[in-house]
Amino acid sequence: MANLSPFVYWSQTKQTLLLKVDLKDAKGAIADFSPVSVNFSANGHGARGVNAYKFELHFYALIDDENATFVVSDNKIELQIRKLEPEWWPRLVATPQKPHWLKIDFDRWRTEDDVEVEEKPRDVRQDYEKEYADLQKRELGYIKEKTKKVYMIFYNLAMFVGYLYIMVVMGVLYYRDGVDSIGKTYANVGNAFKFIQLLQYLEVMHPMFGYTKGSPVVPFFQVSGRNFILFLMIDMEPRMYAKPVVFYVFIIWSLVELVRYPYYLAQLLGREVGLLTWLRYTIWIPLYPMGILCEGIIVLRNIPYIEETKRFTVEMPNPWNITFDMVLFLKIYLMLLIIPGSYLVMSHMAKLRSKKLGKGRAKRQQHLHAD
Amino acid sequence: MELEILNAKNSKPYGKVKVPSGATPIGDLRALIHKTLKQTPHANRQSLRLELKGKSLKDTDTLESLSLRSGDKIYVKDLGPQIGWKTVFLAEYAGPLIVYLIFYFRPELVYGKAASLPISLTTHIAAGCYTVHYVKRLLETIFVHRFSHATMPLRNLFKNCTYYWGFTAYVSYHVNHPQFTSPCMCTVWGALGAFALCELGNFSVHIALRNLRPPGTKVRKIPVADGNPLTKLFDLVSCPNYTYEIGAWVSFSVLTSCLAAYLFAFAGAFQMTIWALAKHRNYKKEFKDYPRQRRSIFPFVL
Repeated sequence: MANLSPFVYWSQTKQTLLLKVDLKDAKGAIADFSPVSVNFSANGHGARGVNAYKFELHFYALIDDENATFVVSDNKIELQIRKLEPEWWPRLVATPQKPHWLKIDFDRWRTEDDVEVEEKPRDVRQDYEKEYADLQKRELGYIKEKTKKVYMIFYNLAMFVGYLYIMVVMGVLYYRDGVDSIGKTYANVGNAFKFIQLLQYLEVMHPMFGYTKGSPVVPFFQVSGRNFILFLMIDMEPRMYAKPVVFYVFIIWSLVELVRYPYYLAQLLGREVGLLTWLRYTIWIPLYPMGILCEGIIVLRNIPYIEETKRFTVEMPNPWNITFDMVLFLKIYLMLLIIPGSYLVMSHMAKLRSKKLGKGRAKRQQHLHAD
Repeated sequence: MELEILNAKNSKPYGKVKVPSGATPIGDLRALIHKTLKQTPHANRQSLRLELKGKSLKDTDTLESLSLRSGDKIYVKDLGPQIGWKTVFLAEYAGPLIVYLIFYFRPELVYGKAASLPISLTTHIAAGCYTVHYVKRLLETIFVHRFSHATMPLRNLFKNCTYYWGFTAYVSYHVNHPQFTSPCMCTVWGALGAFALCELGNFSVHIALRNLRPPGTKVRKIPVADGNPLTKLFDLVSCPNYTYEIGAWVSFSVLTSCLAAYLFAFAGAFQMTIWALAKHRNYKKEFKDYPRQRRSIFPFVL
């Protein structure tokens, strides 16, 4: 007998999909989920009476197949699915043509408009962005860019130029003086590095004022972690200036930024550069472990110096009856930095990487299925 | 009445439960669910809700009041390992006593050779204050407080003990340090008086709150001052127990002139302010005639 397909009714929210399979008194229901598809079969009372029914669907985008579930009721079977990336799908299946047995569940149907009306007032200039840009071009002769966007473009460009300057200076001096320039790194570019690192606190303020998405806490800790090394561990201890590790940590920090800022610039200008994206989400793999190692060495080198100078250390007696042992703090900082700190940062980046770079792979796989 | 019970994590059914009557409270339903369906979590670990991500149902609600009918669904969420509230409180308050006194006895391991220097009067007074405070808390846990939930997650035991024991070690190390610098004695005696007043006030409010509801009843009433003049603070704030608590720790900080103690007072004040604001909001929602001049925790301010 030919495969019988039950009627399937689908609906979605931004995060989820719900498929309702129109079978009564279903038995032996099986649903096999993969990130791009579902295979379903069951015995029950459907459009062709009591029969064995089955269907296969290839989804428009990726789903969270590990946590997908289904519930069997007396008069229907519900497949509850979470999208891997929360976004509205224009259709359920990968191909523009849909199976005849697949229908919209109008009782549950929701669209972006349903949600966004609840969320916030609409901005007509965003709704009709193309028309608005055309209108500006006609009236003014040019398109007026948003202030925020212009500022962000200049910010990212300036930061890129700053780090490029540092790298070029270090490179030229290394080329000219060879190994001798390593000991003079801090003298040559230390001031520039301090300036540009303080500027990075603007990246803590950007999410606070709505210029970028996300939380200000993460960039605060990232920038402060670096500035702790630069200002408290290097700048305030002249004996650290000539250490080779300063040269290496400056190179590592600069390389990360020389990839990150152009990537943001490309995003702002609406151009996707494949190589830049790949670099952005891959270059941390060698650089972050090396960076953590260099920072650890810098802290380790500082411990005997601070034991000697007692800098930042507070001892009793004093009127507030408080103590602070900087050496003990540095030892704890090292422990936290090396193991939990690096694990947290790198697992976060690994997640981002699989999300950004893994997407294309899965999509190509999807197309193969479609063919 | 027959109800369908599902797992709140993945919507998989556990099975069906027959309930004798619509007057059954949720608390009894939880025990019945575990008794009937052995694979469900123990009653204390269950959080029941009507929707997959709905609010937890109160133990005192009845099936009738929730308009439940035969065939309706109940979702069960597993709250994880549970521990009695009383156990947690006894552990988190006994620890500070022991930890504080360890430093008070000046172990050479901690303070080195300076450990043998004489202990100042202020340090003795501070040790007395600390001991009195936590003994009072232990006794209140045993004899005064009643808890609306019997259990809390086991994880809270470790969080709470870390907070209390850790801060105690921090404060105690500094107050009992051989090179402790005492503020002038008039400051010490004044702060000690304030501390005693706040401790008595806190205790009085706890007694008043306990007497608000006779044993075994569930009646909710607006807390008001009783004959004790220290409970007059109810006229100004919703949570005078927190107000007095903060006052006690600020007094202790002034008495010892210790930055670590001020940090502890600030951390406690921050947390209690959050609780007080929430409780104040609940009172106003629950009682239409709630006194308008009351603030949450700081008279006239907040």
